[in-house]
Amino acid sequence: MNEDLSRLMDGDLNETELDRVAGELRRPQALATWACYHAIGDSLRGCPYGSPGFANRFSAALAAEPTVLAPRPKLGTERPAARWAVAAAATVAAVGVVGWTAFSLSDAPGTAVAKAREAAAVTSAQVRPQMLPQDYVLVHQEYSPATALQGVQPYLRAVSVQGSDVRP
Amino acid sequence: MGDREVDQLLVERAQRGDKRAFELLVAKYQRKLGRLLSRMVRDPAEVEDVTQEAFIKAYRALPSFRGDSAFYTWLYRIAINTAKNYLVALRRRAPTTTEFDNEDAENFEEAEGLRDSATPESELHGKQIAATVNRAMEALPEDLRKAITLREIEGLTYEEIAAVMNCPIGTVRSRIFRARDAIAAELRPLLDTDENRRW
Repeated sequence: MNEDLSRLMDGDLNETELDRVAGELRRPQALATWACYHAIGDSLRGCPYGSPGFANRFSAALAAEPTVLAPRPKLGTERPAARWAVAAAATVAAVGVVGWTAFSLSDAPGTAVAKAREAAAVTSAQVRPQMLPQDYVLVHQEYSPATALQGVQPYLRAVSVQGSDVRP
Repeated sequence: MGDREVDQLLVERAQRGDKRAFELLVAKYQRKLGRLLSRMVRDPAEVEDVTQEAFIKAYRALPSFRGDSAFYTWLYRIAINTAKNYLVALRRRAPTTTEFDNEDAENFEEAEGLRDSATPESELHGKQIAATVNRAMEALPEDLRKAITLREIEGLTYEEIAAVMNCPIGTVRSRIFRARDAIAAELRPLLDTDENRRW
C-alpha cells in the first residue's frame, strides 16, 4: 500500500490502480503516510516549514464544515477509444439523416416530377418563336423601337433573316 | 499522469463529498501555502490562522473549481485574497498584488522570510525535521539516495531517472519507495503521524 502511495505522489499509477488506492486513502494510516512522504519532499526542497498540530486542528475545522457535494462530469478524462466511438456514432447518425432526407426527396411521388415536366412544357411554349410572316417583318424593320443604330441595324437584321431563309 | 492530474483526481473526489481527499491536498500543500503566506502576514500565529482559513475557503469554493487551472494556482489566489482581507480587517497595509502573480503560484520556492516570522517552536520543529531528513538521507544506500534526490530535488520522472541510473523503471519505483519509507520511519515521531493519532 505504501508503495502505491509513493507512486501516486509521483503520478505513476494508471486509472485502475488509482481507484483502488483512492479507496485505501480513507484509512488514517494511509493519510499519515501520505503526509509524511510529502513532508520529506518539502524538506528535501528546503521547505521545512510546518506548524506542529496544524493537521489535527484543520481536520477538526473541516469536520465542522458542511460536506461539499458538487460532482462534475469527468471532462477530458475519458478513454480516447470512447471519445472516438462517440464521434463516429455522431458522424454516422448525421450522414444517415442527410442521406435519408435526400433519398426521400428523390423518391417522392410523381407530383414533383409531373410539376417539373409541366414547368418545362411552359418554358418551351414561352420561348417558341412567333410565327410572323417574314415579309411583314422585313417591311416593318425600320419602325422597330429603341434601336441606337437607327438606320443601320434594321438592315443588318434584315440580312440576317434573309441569310437564314436561303439556308437549306 | 502528472502532479496536476493527481490533484484533479483528489479534487473530484472531494467534490463528490470525500473530505478525506481534500485533507490529502491540505497535507500536500500546507507547508508551501504557509510559507507563501508568511511573506504577507508576519505574525506566525496569524499565518497559521490565515492558512487554515484559506483551506476552508477553498473547500467551500470547491463547486466552482472546474479544473481550468492547476489546483495550487487556484488555491494560491484564494490564499492571497484571504491574507489581504485579513490584513485589511486588522487595519494593516497589505502588500500590493503585483508582488504575487500566477507564475509565483507555480514556482514559489523561496524560503527566505519564513525564518523571520516563525515562532521559536515552529522554527525548532522545522530544524528538527530538516536534520532528521538529512540524517536519514545520509544513512541511505547510494542508489536509494540518488533515486530520491533525482525525483524530489531535480524533479525527474521515473523514465528519466531510469535513463540516468541505467536501470529499469520498476527498479526506480522500488528505490524511491524504499528511500521514502526509510526516511519516514525516522520522521514519523516528529510529525503527528503515528498510528495512535491522525496526521
